[in-house]
Amino acid sequence: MNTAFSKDELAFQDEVREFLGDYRELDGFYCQGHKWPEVRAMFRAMAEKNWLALSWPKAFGGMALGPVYEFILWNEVAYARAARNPLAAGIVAQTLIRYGSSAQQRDWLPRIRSGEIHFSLCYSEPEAGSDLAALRLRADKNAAGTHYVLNGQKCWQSYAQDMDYLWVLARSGTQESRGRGISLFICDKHAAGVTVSPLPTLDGDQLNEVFFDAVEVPLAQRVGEENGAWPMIGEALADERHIQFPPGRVRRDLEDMVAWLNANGLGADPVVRQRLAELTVQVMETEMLALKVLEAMVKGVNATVDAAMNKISHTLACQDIARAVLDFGGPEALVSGARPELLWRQTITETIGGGTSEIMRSVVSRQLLGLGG
Amino acid sequence: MSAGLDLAYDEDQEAIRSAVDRFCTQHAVEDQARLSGQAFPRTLWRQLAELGVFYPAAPEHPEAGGALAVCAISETLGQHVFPGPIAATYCAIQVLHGDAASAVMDGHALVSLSSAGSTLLPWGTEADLFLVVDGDTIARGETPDAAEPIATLGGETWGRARLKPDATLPASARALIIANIATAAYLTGAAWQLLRATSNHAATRKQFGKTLGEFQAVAHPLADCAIGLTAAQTLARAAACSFDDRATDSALQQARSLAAAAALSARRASLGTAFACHQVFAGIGITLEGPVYHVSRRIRQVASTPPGGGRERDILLNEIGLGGEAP
Repeated sequence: MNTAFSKDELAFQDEVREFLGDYRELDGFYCQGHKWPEVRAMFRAMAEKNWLALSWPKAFGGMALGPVYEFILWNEVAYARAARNPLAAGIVAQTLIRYGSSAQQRDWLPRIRSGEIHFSLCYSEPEAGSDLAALRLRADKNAAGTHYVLNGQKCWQSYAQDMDYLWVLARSGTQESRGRGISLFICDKHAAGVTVSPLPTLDGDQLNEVFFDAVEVPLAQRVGEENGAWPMIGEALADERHIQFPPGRVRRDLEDMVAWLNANGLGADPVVRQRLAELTVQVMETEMLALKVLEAMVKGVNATVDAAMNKISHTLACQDIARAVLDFGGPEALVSGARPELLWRQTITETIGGGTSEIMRSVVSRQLLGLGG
Repeated sequence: MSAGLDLAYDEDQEAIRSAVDRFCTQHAVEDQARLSGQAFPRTLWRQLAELGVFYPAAPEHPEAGGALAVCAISETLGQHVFPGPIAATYCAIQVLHGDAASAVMDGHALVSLSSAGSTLLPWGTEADLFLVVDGDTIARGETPDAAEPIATLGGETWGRARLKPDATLPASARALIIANIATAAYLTGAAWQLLRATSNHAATRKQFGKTLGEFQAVAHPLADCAIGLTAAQTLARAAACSFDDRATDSALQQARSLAAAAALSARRASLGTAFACHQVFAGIGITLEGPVYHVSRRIRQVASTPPGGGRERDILLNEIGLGGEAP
């Protein structure tokens, strides 16, 4: 058994921390939408070190390093509160590497690796949230057979207002075919017929609705087989499990809230101390569960259950930390713009996005305990 | 890729677990946990010790497996709700030397580890050797002339007497880390076993035409138990891993924090699991002959047995810059 990183991995961690020294004030983790130009610039700087392609095969310009390096990078970025990991370099690129045509790999991967282009995932719809296989947005070939035509609506898209391209799941089969009738497309966000409409969120950021009105997408921008998207998106999600919900964010939340309570003369209160000790245990539990996800990734085994456990533990710890500070902080903790009230608002979203707690608990109860639910 | 990151037990540790598991099954150890007010099963304790299960804690026996072996053994003993002062024994072996240590390791001397100022001594009527924990220190206590028998929730007879602590023993801090690891591992082992039994029950018992486990109101609390136990168990294993790697002060410090968190995490998770399992077993779960109570009361007993509580919280508060006593 070994829980320590190797010497090379620790050296990389030091390098990442040094790099992030220039971005300590960026604060793009919570409300990335407001900081997108700065976040984008940071991603370009990372790309100069080839850090957006840490795990890509060398044949595609990657560094062929393992998941530990990705974990270290995005965990440190989360701790520094700089940004969330970009989906283009992860889900999009890994899918293109695995299923894209040679032309697609040649056209898209270099621009993703350089940080030039970014993607928003267009999966969820008003009537297809947790039940994604119920999605309805249509993709039908035009009469000439040269394009797909997309019609319908997506909902709750993160960062779509700022991204360059949309990574769209659409129904190309019958509605009854569920997951077997879905295809995957790359769509230019600026294509005719695409409308992005903001859905302001309680953390001060925004999600989006994305409307597709007879949007033409070239055949060459369908990724994988027609009706073949379902297993691809499952695999792509699996590629990212170790960098979703990094524990550095929770550790930083705890540290910031301890600092705030100390600054407000509450750090010596025995009741506060008791609660903070409990929260510290929760943070350390989350760090262990993240390590279990990473271990599964390193060993190449299924990390679904570990990831579900990590998501539950991580998001509840975030909420418990923020809510404890509001409980103890009195009226001072209500001041707008200060970290406690921001965290209180922001953490409400955490148990919803990326798979609700209910879905995660069902994963654990079904796949680990052999129950229904 | 990190060749090193690995949270699983190695072959040797798995072999130890298998041996302890076989022993417990052959001796129907779990039945002991259903008894109350019986004399401590000395013979069983000595037979367990003859397997060598206490040697891994001995500093002079590094070949015996160290803290990871302690963790693996304690988890397995927890699965069988093995009786007796398991964490206290591992703790004692760290601070004792010579004949005293040998007697403990060989199962001939039973250890009582109590908190300073308390007159309630775990296994106090049976123990041969008394230790007192006071903050980060452990002292030997004089064997009391007589201890008044005290019945406890867990069915074990403890003793009440006033102890006079002697001088502080060396290596107390290390001993308390081991005790926390053993406690956390035992509790998670016991609670996991209970959770598995409860999940099997929920997967087969039908009400309203469906198995209990198909109701989210039943399945999701059990999922939460699994998450809490996984976290606590991983904390205990990580603490043991750091302890065995104590070449540097920072590794030992890390082991101390992880072990403190493991103990607190395991107490909360195992108790929560016990209550959830009572609830899922419903009418079956509130009978003495049922599959829950003998485990849940043992979990409750171990969770409240010294060392524990405030000391672990102080270790963690120190970690986050809130060191020192509260006013």
